[in-house]
Amino acid sequence: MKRFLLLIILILCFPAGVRCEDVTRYDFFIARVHYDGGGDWYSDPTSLPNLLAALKERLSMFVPKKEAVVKLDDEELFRYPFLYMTGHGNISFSPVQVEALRKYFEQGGFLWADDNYGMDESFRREIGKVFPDSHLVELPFSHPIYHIHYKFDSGLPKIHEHDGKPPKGYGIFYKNRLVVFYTYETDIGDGLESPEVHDNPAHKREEAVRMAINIVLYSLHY
Amino acid sequence: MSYLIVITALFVMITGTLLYALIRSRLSLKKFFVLLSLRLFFAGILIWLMTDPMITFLTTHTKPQKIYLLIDQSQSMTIRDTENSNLSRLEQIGEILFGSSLKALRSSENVLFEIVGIGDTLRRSIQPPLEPIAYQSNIIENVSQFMESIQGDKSALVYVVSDGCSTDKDFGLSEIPSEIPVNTISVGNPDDQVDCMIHSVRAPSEVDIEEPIDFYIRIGEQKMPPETNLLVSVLDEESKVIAQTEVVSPVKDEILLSYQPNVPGLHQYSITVEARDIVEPYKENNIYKTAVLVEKKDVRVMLIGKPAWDMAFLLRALRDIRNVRLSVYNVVGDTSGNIFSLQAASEQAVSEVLDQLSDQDVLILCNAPAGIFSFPDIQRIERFVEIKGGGLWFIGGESSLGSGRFIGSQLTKLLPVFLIDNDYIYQPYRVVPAQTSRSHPVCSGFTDNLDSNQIPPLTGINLVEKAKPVAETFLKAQLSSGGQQFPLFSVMNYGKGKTAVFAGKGFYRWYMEGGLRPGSRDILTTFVLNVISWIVSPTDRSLMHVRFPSVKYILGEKVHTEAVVLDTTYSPASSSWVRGNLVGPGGFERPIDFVPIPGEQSGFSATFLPPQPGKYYLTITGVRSDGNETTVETGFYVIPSSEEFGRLAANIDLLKDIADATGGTYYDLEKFDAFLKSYKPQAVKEKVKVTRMAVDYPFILMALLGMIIAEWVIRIREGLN
Repeated sequence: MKRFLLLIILILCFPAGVRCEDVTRYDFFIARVHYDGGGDWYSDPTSLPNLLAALKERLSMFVPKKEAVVKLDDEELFRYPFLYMTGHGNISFSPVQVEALRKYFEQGGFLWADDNYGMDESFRREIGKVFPDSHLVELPFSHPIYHIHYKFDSGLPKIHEHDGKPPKGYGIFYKNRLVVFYTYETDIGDGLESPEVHDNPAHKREEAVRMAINIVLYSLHY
Repeated sequence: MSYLIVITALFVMITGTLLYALIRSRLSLKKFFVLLSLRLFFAGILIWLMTDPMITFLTTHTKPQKIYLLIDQSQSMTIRDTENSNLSRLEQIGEILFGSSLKALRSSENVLFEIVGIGDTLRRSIQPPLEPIAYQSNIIENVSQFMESIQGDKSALVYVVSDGCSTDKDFGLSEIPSEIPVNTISVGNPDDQVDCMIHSVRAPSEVDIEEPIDFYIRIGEQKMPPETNLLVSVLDEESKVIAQTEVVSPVKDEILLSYQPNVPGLHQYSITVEARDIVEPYKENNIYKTAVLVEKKDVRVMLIGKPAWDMAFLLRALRDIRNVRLSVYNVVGDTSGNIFSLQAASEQAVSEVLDQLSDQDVLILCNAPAGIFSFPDIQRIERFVEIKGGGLWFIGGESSLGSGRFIGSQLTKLLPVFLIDNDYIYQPYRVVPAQTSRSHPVCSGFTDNLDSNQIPPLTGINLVEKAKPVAETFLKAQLSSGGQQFPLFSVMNYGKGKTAVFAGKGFYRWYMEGGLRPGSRDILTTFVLNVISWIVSPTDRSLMHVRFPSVKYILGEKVHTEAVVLDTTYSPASSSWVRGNLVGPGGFERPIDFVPIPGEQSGFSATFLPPQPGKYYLTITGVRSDGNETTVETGFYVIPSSEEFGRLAANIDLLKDIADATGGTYYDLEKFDAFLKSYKPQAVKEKVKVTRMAVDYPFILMALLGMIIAEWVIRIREGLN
């Protein structure tokens, strides 16, 4: 009985509790990937609501207040054209999830993976299972994703220092379409978080919002 | 019958013999044999005549001398060989044949003249004046055909008058029947002259309006002094130079001249070469004509909309379609008057963006509100559809149609549906293909064989009041629980253009989820392709499909075309027929017969041969059983072959060879003139074998009558009657 009550409490405390709302009626919405493997898929919890708010404010877009959460083997995966995944730890895709994700990309889906420091190795490994023949390639600074709305002539902005490495934007293309955009050593998610969470300077947070808007608009136009 | 003849003969002979046997004693032996012989001869001749005997004999007969003049009427006969005269080769012949010196000969009863034109084909019994109407010069082929046609008339005199510039391909001298000699007469200067020519031109038959036309030109030269400057030009239909270059002789490589047409349509271009500071005797081969169809192959689509998944997947579907060129603008507010250009990555005024509308084919407003457009903007959009023939496609959403405050806007005139205020609701309406008009091109591969359960439901809908009476609705929306069906996708013709409304939202799911079920497919791309293709297709061709394989034909090449007549449900129309009318250069006009294509309902085809070079218009009219007609006009060019212009000096060797091969005589034109002047026409005597029925000869009947009379005279004198 205690275990059952504990389960009920856990469900009620589900961090991204927007599944009850059908976000698909909005012009744009994001689904956060609830992946397996032990990594904190739920990290940077205020980042996506802040991004959605910025889209509403700056581009008058009709968006929900929060993101949806989806597992890769959910039937509803194909209702969400934009997936976001982040975290610090391990990621693991089951064979069914690998197959589903591949099909998702074939059907027009887009994934933004933002390394929150620590998911690089496992992300590369798992995404390699989805596209065994295609590898992550670094996008040139001339790529439209850096210019579609806001100009980033030097590529990704550096939001949060970890190892002092330069930020890199990688992509996987399927039939000439960018289906995976992987932001590494920048931590845009941190920059999107509310000011009190990481105490990032305002201009860094602005850069993060601008880059995130570029990623959203790119996914909406290509 | 024959046994009756035998019986009759035997009866006459036996009765005659018996009769005379009875009275034998009353006659002398001599008279008895005379009478018996007369009777037997009479009976024998009678019996012979009853077998329809024929009598054949030879007789001598006189007739006029037949003289056939085969005259080359090809284009090389227009050449004026300056050394000889100012007359063209054909005019020189005309002067001899129709001048006063031959008048007596031609009017003689003893001569029968026939002038036959040769070139591309045989033209029997032509009358003066001689015209250079042939665009090929198949001399050997034509002479062979003619000689076969007069075989048996061995007294005929045949003269071929030509410059010997031949385009024969598959015919050799051995194919000319040699029973009757062929005499040949050459006209024109046989010596090669200084000459430059357009040897060949490679150019596309069709180009996109934004592509340049590349003319790859090969120059031919003959005795051209080195370092001669050659001016190579491309001229339009009004003889205006549109591209030009100067090269130096000898020119071994192809020359490339390019021209950006800018104006759609079927155009003819002339490619010319001119030698600077050199007088060319031959100018006829300095020009080459070709035709190019300039059309908008690419479909230009301007999309203005709010950044959203529907717009995103609409863009993906559009990019999946070949030949679509996109201009995308984001609406960033409801009334700002500015939109964000994706290409320029900057904001632009709406009015500035609509300046480019004249270059577009389709304008898509994807959940774009009325507030961003000023009154002049709306007027410009209306003109784009009504006058220019552009397409306007509204896609629904909470900022579109009634909820986008388009009621009261001039654009509502263009829409195929009636709007109501605040029409957008968030409801998962399902999509129901309309049962009618499934064979419309918009439904091809989509609703014609798609179960409505395969189409993911909408995320919201603009509940439009109803479709206009002149509109057609192909998709409807209905709640899963049933109830009223609302027009979802409707189309309408407006002026020269077309408009469409998709009064819903959520078709991004058609792309994402359309291909998930086994056997299903990406239905959004199919749908968008159909809609865009239909919007940009000519209105007159939606109810009659016309297949016209080319816009450029070489003279002598047959033109084949096919037409399929559809009824108002876009299915093959029953009991229909097709007629055609061809209008060509110089007032040429004639009806074209279309015949049914076996096995293809309402399919008709026609094959015809345009008679001369130039621009033609073919009007095809499909007539349905109710008298309703659809007319489609298509144009094409017929270009003359320039093969005989490769070497323009008279080829007297060919003419000598023809004469040698058939036992004829070769003349040059002056000798032939002298020959004709001195020719004394004489009637031809010939022995004729005459065969007639014996009964037609009067002397046989006279002989019979004589025998009867002689017998009766003898009998009366002998007292035997």
